[in-house]
Amino acid sequence: MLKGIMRPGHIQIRVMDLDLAVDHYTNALGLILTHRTDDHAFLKGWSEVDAYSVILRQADQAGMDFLGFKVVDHSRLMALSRDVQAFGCPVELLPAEDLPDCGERVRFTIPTGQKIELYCEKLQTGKWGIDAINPQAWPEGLRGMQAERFDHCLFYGPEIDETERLFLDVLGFTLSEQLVDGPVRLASFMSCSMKAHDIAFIRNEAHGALHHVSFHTDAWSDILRAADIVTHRNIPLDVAPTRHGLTHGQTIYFFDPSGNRNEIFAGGNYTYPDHKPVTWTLEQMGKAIFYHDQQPSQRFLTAVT
Amino acid sequence: MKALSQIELCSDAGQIMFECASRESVLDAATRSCLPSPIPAGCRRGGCGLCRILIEDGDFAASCMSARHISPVELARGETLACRTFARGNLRIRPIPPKRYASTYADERPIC
Repeated sequence: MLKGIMRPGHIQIRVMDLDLAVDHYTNALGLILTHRTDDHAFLKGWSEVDAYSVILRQADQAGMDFLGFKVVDHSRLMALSRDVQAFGCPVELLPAEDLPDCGERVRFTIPTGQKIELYCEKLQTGKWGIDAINPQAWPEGLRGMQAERFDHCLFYGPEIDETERLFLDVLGFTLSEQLVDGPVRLASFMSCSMKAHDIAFIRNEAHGALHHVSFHTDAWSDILRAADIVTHRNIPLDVAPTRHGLTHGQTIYFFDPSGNRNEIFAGGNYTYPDHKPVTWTLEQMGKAIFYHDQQPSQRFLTAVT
Repeated sequence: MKALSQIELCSDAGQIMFECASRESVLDAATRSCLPSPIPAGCRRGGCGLCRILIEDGDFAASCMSARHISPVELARGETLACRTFARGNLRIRPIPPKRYASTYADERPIC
């Protein structure tokens, strides 16, 4: 049952060299740099209406600081905050403008160890490079992979049962797809929209770890173009263009200059709250992860930040 | 400094020798020279920590790597990530296990 969460709206990623990271996320991924300070950079995909969705923070290690979901209004934000607290996750209230151009945020740590935020106000600057009225199909002047928007994240942790209960019962997500070993869920893909996943978790001992940050593009041809750019720029490739079984999305994975895994994602299944979860079973795990190769690499399974 | 260094990799599986150019990382040299790679390769950018090695002997230079996986103290005693490590002469190295993700960054310090 949806409870007013609309979308993953921002993610703060730790990077070890901010200049190299900005170059990667703008010139390789094609995100738009909207604001920069000494130790933070704010970016967005061209099709996103809010002021930014990706925050890069200079740090001494890689990984994710927090993932924020945008909520429809303040009363839903406060209701969700109460419900999260009642679930057993202490919430921290961060005042408006703690993040520039963003309203107050409710932050909590989920059982798998990641920090999640909810907020309902952020400056809307509109889609980048196209008119608000009678808009063009896409803006000219995009760079690199021309990523349209921040799409989803995948996280690791041994406590995915509790995290899933929080997202489904408290935050109002639906279980869109899953990988199961009998009664045990190994992967949980959850949605607050029609997307095949807005957030996903894999059962793994790496508590609090980030597996990947994903960006959406339109088509398979964009995935191949992304692969060419990976080669042009000598970016470390993780997985060459292919399709997932889970979500049936088209995909390529590579690493940013600090070793955080990026995905460029296109297509994929849709879901509605009345859909039964799409289920994959352990004996077909290879096909569930990579639909053609059917054999996930050790690197894909074990490299996290 | 010679353009090519000799790397002697010692592990429980035995000893392997390979050459490493001055501008390539020890991990790149290992994956180029040996199949399968005697050092696990992950992100190749110092973030994931899979390619931890101990430099048992020899001089090396290291570029930026994640403090979660190699602290300054560990680096000072020769622990490093092979993807961020450059030989400055012949080396004797030993792969060491990656660290576990038991606690998070935020368990130890504030996020800003």
